Amino acid sequence: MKKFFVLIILFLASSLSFAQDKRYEVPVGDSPGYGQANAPVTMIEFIDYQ
Amino acid sequence: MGVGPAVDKLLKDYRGKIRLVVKMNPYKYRDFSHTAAEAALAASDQGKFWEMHQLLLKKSPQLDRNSLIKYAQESGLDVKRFTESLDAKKHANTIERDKQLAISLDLYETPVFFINGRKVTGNRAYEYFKKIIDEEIKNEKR
Repeated sequence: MKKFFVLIILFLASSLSFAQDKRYEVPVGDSPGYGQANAPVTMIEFIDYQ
Repeated sequence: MGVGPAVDKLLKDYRGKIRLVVKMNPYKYRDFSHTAAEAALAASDQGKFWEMHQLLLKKSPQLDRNSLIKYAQESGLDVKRFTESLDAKKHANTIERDKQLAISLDLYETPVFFINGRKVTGNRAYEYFKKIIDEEIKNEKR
């Protein structure tokens, strides 16, 4: 029984992380920025200065 | 609405690991949103995007034309060239392109971040970004 609950919890946890994992295709284009183009993490930010 | 100090700290702590790319999504009913976006892109033309970007975030909402020209001086820009670009709305097409991209992504607020394509809405705490970035760096190494 205990094993069963552990499995359920693991399943829920993994499905939650999949939900967060949706990845959008956002073109970088010629937009300005900071940092090296070959950095492992690209953070694209949509802003309004005001 | 500008971007909190979390992003600044991330760029410092993850030097060389993060590239930040800025897209303009000025809200049409705010007085200076568009002009400020023009100012950032005009500074970018002179290789000073980052200096202007930081100033705009720091000084917001004081973003009227005279203030922007003052910030251009402070950033060491060619002020004449900057002002001409600002007044001619030289980057209107780029700003419109970014706005259309935002609409296609169904973004109706700012700021919104995409961290290797993973969407984060709003100014989150440093730790919130850190968790995602650490996961991405770990995935990269795999």
